[in-house]
Amino acid sequence: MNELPESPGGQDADAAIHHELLERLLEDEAGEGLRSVAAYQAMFRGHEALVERVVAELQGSSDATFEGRDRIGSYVLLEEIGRGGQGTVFLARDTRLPRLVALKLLSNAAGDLGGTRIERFRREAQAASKLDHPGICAVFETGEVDDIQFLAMRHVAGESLAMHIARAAAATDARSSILHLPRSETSSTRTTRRREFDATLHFIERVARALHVAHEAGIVHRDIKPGNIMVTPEGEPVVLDFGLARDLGDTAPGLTRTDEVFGTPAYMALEQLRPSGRGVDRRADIYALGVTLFECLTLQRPYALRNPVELADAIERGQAPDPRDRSPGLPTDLAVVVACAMASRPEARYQTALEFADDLRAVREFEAIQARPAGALLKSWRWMQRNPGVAISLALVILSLSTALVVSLVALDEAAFERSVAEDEARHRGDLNEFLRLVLESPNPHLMGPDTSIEAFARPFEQTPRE
Amino acid sequence: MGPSDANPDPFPVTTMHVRGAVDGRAESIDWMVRRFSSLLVAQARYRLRGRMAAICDPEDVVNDVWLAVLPKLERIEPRAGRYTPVLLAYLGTTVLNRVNTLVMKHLRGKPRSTELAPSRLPEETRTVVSRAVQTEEHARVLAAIDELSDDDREIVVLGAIEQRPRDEIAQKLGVTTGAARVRLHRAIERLRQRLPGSAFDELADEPDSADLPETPPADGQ
Repeated sequence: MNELPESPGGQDADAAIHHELLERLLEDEAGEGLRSVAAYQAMFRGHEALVERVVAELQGSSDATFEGRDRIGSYVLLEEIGRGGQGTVFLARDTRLPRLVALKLLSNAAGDLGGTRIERFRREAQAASKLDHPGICAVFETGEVDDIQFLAMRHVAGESLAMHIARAAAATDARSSILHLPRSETSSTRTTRRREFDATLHFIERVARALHVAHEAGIVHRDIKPGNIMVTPEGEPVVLDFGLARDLGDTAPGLTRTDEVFGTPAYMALEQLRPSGRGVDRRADIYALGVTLFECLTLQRPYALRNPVELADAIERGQAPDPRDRSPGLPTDLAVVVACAMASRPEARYQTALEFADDLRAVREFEAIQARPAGALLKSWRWMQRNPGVAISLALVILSLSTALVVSLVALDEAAFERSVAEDEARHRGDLNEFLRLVLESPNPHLMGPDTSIEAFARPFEQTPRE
Repeated sequence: MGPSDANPDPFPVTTMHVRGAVDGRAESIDWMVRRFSSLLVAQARYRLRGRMAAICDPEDVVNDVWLAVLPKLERIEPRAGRYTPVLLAYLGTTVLNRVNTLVMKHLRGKPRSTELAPSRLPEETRTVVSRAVQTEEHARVLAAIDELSDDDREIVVLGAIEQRPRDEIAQKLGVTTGAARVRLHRAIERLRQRLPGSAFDELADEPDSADLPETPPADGQ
């Protein structure tokens, strides 16, 4: 496109639209990747020709680089499957082994690539090749053919987590499963939701464990986001794209200036958005994974802001938003875990991805999380959730014993009362018997003497005057 | 540059320097660069917001634009006796195209280059731009524009510097064309009061191109 307006006396009407389109393309490139021409034409109605020209120009630049090539070294190029600032990725067939690979290419045929990009490309290969974990995309080989740098990686079938989230967000039922678990005909909706929830937590937990392996090897990814996490057809996560990874053990001069910002702002920690010269460490990846978890749970990013400066201000101003505000019903412990992973200060976050993973497992299994000590009541509640059968049996036993105790106590009380009444009656009867005995015995001559009783008995009558 | 306008020249100094710049006079080039560079830097800063800010430096863009535009100044025709709106439209659109070109290169993954083809301009042009952006006047202009509200800054860049049609601005801002005109007028008035003697004096009450007849009346006809 000509830089000078055709007519110095007027405006180039397309220039402003072109600019808006480029803003959109930049956002998408930094986010989930470029969309189709039709998608951009839908956004810029009335300017379809301009959109087609610009997008075709961008795509053509990449295609032209490798145009006419059907082979790079031992790899036969099959189809382009991705493109970004760090190179173009082809599905390729390895002619030496019966396997498909993802072949990432970076051409320097025109000699216009800076040494920094080539060096960064090589460092990605070095960083990823140090790692051996099923959750990390393996690098098979790296090299250079005809001024083309190549990187042969494991081809991961499936879709990115970003695609899964986008599909779930677009679904009519906003609470549909992120990972699209098969729904059981017999299980209840509640049970299915619980399984889906557990599957999501388990998925992120496995990503955290894979990241921990990278971190332990001294590699910080620096661009963790749903677009860089693949979901295999089996539902397993695979972390991709170590193009921005930093080897903490590498003593070579840095490829980035200390004030340079790389990554995707929405998933970047405060220390990445506002570089202070201290660099970033594994805790930046933990923050990014926390944001990813938040997005999986709510289908929204925690902050709607796009501008890195505004985003940094928002993160610094206060605590991360509570996912329960957007997805009511999430467990309190999970909200605590998300908040801990997304804490603005690195020292307030989980210090290792393993701690994060362990807490996600704890939430899933109703155990105590490390992010916040639980009280006795909460611990008991979690124990009951973990062992519902035992808990119900125990509750029934306790209930039975309590009932029996109450019944016994009542019975005892009644018996004591009756005994008391009986004793009173017995005592009363005894008194009466004693009285009668005394009455009956009083005229006994053997006891009282021969006349005494008669006299005594008759004396009152005798003293009464006759009428 | 032909005498195609019958109106009296309300800003003869601008005309003199535009013509002097066309003839390659260093003092005229210096005057034009000093007068308009601040506005172009403000425009480039506005256009290089957000993610684009990391791609190139606004002052580099303005430098490139001068290198590209100065050799073509003879094509500029005054409108209603004024050069400034026409010149700004030309410069502003060139800034926009330059930014777009650099962003396209960035998206294609090629290293950006702010070097343009060699021109017949004096070597010292770069120095002129560098000096222009170091002056106190440049800082005052940028500060005045920065102090505007976001909406006013946008309308000044689009309406006064890029000289975009008012209905296009109105549509972008979601207001009526009349409202856009009023807001632009008020914003420019504020800048004129803050910056007396600046290029904004020549932009006040500038009629929109839509208000002008299709063909300017020729002399005596």
